[in-house]
Parts: sequence; structure tokens; C-alpha cells
Amino acid sequence: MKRNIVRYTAGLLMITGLISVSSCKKILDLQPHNSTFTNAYFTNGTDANTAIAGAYALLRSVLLNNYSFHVYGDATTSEFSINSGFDDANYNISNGEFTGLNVGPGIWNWLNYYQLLQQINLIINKVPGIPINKFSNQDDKNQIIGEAYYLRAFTYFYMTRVWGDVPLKLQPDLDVSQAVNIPRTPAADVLKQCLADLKIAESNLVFGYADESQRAVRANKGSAFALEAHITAWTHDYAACEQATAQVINNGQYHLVTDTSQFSKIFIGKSVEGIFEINIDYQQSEGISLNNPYQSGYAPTIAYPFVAQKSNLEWPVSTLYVNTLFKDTTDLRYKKYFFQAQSTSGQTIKYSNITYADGSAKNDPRLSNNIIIFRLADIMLLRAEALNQLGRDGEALTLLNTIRSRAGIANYTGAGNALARTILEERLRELFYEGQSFYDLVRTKQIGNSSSSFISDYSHINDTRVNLGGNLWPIDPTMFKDDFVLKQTPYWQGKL
Amino acid sequence: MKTLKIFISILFVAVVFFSCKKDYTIGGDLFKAQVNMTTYDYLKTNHAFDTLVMMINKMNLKDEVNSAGTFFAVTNYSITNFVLAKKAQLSIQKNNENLVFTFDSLNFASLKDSLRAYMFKDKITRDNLSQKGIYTQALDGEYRLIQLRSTTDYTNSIFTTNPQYIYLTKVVPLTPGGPVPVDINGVQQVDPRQLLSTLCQTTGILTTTGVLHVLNNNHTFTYFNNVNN
Repeated sequence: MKRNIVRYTAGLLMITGLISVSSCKKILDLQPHNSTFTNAYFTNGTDANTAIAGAYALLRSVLLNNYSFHVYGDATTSEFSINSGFDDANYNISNGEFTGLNVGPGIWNWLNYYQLLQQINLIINKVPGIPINKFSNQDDKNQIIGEAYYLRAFTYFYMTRVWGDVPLKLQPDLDVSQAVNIPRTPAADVLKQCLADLKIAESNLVFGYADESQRAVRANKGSAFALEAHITAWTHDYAACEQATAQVINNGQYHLVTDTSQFSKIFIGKSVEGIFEINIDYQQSEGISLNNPYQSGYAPTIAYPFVAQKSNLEWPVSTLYVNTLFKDTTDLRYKKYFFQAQSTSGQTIKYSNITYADGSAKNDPRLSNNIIIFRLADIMLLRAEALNQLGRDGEALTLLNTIRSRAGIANYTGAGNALARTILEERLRELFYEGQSFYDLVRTKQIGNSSSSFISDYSHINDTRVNLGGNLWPIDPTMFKDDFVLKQTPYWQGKL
Repeated sequence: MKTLKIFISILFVAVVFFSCKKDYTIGGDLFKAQVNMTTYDYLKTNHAFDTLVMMINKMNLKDEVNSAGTFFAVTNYSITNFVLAKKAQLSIQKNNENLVFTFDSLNFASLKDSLRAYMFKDKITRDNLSQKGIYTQALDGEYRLIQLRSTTDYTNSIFTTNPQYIYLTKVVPLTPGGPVPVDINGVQQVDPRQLLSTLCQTTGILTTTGVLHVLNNNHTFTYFNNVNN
């Protein structure tokens, strides 16, 4: 009995061994038929074009994720009195009660930014190797390379405003098994790299748009200079900022939308004023579905009558903040961008272009407004800020008053610090709910203390927390799990 | 063995017949819209209306509350909102940021009509409302729009017919002193900015004297804060 078992086992082992040695050679060596993989991809212009489109799509999903574009830029200021019953996590942010763990960790995590950066790095790595004759339109090659460098600069600049030091990764991981953890690079070095990337982008891109359907939703030379202006202003290099804004204003072929009935078109997108936008267009089947539970469609600042069947208003506008800013209620922006702002459920209606996918039943609303990242009014006010800092108040006043007269309010005549404050307030008015206000307040160091709110009173200069890095977000503790070189942001160490 | 079988079957029958009396279900009862009290007495039982009851007492409006067919009750929060807004306005007018202004500082005699604006002669329930709504006169003579609005909040339109909420709406002029509509057809033409709408958080409480609806806590009594009001 025992001997038989041994024999059977031995026989079985021999058969198994024989099978595993002799079978399945060729099958395992076959290349997959349908999947794209890096070496077989990137062979012609179409590949490069779809790759850059993929990068824009990833950027869109990154900015929309957890509504982070407006959480970082707007919820942190006092723009909204967020309703805790409907949006508790963001209520904590708007209320200044952000102590770490009471805010959803989704907005602390940068992993999806590195998915985007991987795609961009892949384009920067591979597209220059595609022969120029493989492009059906030969201008595309430089254009795509320029856009990729622009997107990398934009992504790192955006990240560094949110988290400060971030891991700087400039090469794609072509082989996942070779990927290594890298430590956080100081913010100043990241910004230096952004400016270097932008120099390459600017030399590869051109001003204007040959194809009107690409206006503002694909980067051009103007977008690159606008980004450069923002980066240099962030580092307080106002001389460089002045030069970059001059390029945008003088050579960018942008115009202010002066017809007051067309103001809402600026936020639908692709207006003559738009410099860089994220495409969200229902006509191209790319609207945001507000009712689909499987998508992150969110429009917290609007409700009935702008969305027919929505009665919850998650982010009512802060009446106090609006009244502080819009002392002059003849301001066209007050009339056009707010709905019943004096009530406890005031709506911000910049982004309220709703189409109903099911027609008159109105059960399936789709938001069809681009995310406006840079526009001409923004760059003009940034230039005014730079000129003011450089002591050229006269030129700054001209720019400031161009924006003021478009909004139908009286011209301003002041100088020095009073002018600086007016320019900042003009930015807060003009760019309300455009994901800029918080960075503006940090850049100009007009920011309140941490105990009451991020911005308790922006006339009071208190940069203690900014100097400690308290304007930066903590990074998600779950990221430390497989990355031992990562360190928490200094301000948040021991606070989470 | 046989006794065991009999014993088990007796046990089984006993379990079937004696377990799960109704008393074992804990909490809740069948929904009943009726409460066996007058509107005023019902408000007194619920602490959400403490301030409202004080206000009714100070105004001597108890009988009017009980004689009204429909009453839209405001909660304590709504009256607080009103007091705060009034205080903010007065402290600017009198240029005194330390102004003391509380519930007791209100002039109740002059606010009587403001409270009457929440009372209606007829019994207005969900059954006699529609999406178009009715534009009816309150006991102070002002008109109010009362309508149903459907919503997809919380349901994401999974139902073929969406849930509907009752809204109480004040129609204000577009510019100060401008005209307001006089009938429901006029209301349908107005600019949406003219409609100051308030969602009812509880509706259809049937007291012995009338119908009670409750406005949500974010409402400000008298719609005080709205411009052109």
C-alpha cells in the first residue's frame, strides 16, 4: 500500500514535470492583440494627438475629483457659508474648523496627479522620437510637445500651491517594476523646474488658434505666458511677472467681453477672453451629469430655478463676504453672478448653464460650463498688481479701471498700499468662485489667523500661519504606508 | 421516544402561538396626520416653537392662530434670524456696533400683520395644491404663492414620479416700489429673482382647528433680509 502511494506520487510528479517543461511555449510569448503598450504606441501623429487628449482628460478628472478645484481655491476663503447638513466635510473648511481629520482625505491625496504626470512624462519622453513625416499636420509635433511641457508646469505649480514640497518626477516609469519612491522636492526647486518647462513650451507653441474649436481648451503660447505670470507672481518676482503679462496682453490676441449681455458666455467657455479652460461641454457629450450616482457631478452653488428639481443648496453664498466686497451694488457682477445674495440661500450662478438630457421632464440635468483657469481679466489684474509692486501705479490704475468700468463701477484713484488693496479686492470680486481667491490672499499675505477662519479679516495682515506653512494642505497618511521616504508637511506634523 | 416526540410538537405549537406578540415591536406607530389638539396647543407641545408661542402670546393672536384654516409656523431659528438681521440693520443705522437688541426689543404691536402673513383662511393641504400652485391672500391682505415643487435630491430620479415638497413663496417687486402680480397667471410671468421661496420642513399636520405646515429653519421671519422687500 505504502509503496504504491510512493510510486503513484513519483509518476504523477514526472508527468507534471514533463507537461510543464514541454507545453505552452509559444502561447506565452504572444503579444496581446488589442492593448496599447508604450513601445508599440507612439508611432505616428494620431497616437501623439490622442495621448495629449488623454492628458487633458486626466487633468479634467483630477480637478473635478472631490470638487477639489473649488475646495482648494474657494471653500478655504469665506466666500460661502457651506451648509453642514448637506456638505459636512467642506463645511469644516469654510468654517475654519479644519483641524485635519474632520475633512475627507480624498482632497489630501495626490496619487491621481501622478497618473496625470505619468501620461505627460510619457508624451515628453516619446513624442520627440516620432518622425515628423508621420504627422498628417506637421505643426502638430511642436504643438503637442509644447502642450505637454505646459501641462507639466501647470500640474506641478498647482500641486505646489496646495501641498508645498512635492515629489518631482520628470521621467515616465516605463517599467513598473523599476519604479522607486522619491522624496519631496522643495517647492522653490519645483517652481524653478516649472519655469524651465514653460520656456520650452513657449518656444514650441504659437499665439492664437487656427482651429476655433480648440480655443482656450488647448494650451497655446498665451496660456504658457499666463501660467508664467502666475508662477512668478507666486514667488514675488514681479519684474518677471510684468514681462509675462505684457506678452499675454499685447500679443495674446485676447479681448475683454464688453457686451454685458454676454457675460454668462465667458463661463460657458471658449470666449475671446478665455486663456486656459477645462472643456466641459454637453454638446460634445462631455457635460457633467448632476444626478448620476456613479459620477462625481456636483453643482453646490446652484439649485432651483437654475436646476429645476434641485432644492438642496450645499454652498449658499456668504452674505457677509458678498456685502463686504460688493459695497457698490450697482456692480454688474453683483447682479449677474449672484441670485438672491441677501437671503440665506444665495446662489452663485457663474456656472449655471444646464441642459436637460431628458428634455422637458427635467430629471437629468447636465452642467455645461468650462472650468475657467486663466482669463484676460485675471491676467490684467495680475499685471496691475505687479506694476503696483514695481512702483508704476499710473499704469496699474489704467488696467484696474478698465476692469472696473466694464463692471459699471466708478474709477479708482489711489496709490501705494491703498491701490494694492483695491487691486486685491477687485480680483476677489472679479474672480469670485473661480478657484483663485485663496491663492490671491496667500500671495498677497492678506490672510487671517487659523483659529477663527483661514481669512478672518483680510484687511489685517497676519502671515504667521502662512510663514509656518499653514496655508498648505496635509498629505494623506495612507500614502506613507508604502512610501518610507515621504514626510508630512511641517505645519501638520503632530497635528493629525 | 414517543413522549419526546409529543413533547417537541407541544413545544413547537407553544412557540408558534405564544411568541411575537405585538408588544415586542419597539418604537414608532402608524402614521397619523391628526393631532387631537388646537393648533396653538400643538405648538406649545413642541419646543421648536417656544419663541413662536411667546410671540403669539405677546401679540394676543392665540384666537386668530386657532381660527386660521392654515398656519405656516416658523421655528425658533427663523425668529432668531430675524432678530439678528434687524439688529445688524439698526446697528448700521444708529452707527452703534455694541447695540443691544434682543427678542424682547421687538415691537410686537407692529409685527402683528407680519405674523398674519403666515395664516390663511382656507385649509391648504397637499391634495389641493399643484406644481402651478395657488396665489392666495393671507390674513394680513398680502398674497402668497403656495405650490408643490418636485425634487431629485436624495433620489436621483429613480422614481417615475419624483417626490414633491411644499413651498411658501413671497413675490416681491423687481425694483423697489414696483408692481407685484395680482393673480396666479401673473406669477408665472415674473422674473425668478422676484420669488422668495421657502421650503416647508414638515407639512400637513391636521389639528382640531386647521392645517399646520412648518417652514424650514433657514427661513428668516418676514423675509426680512431680501432687497426690494
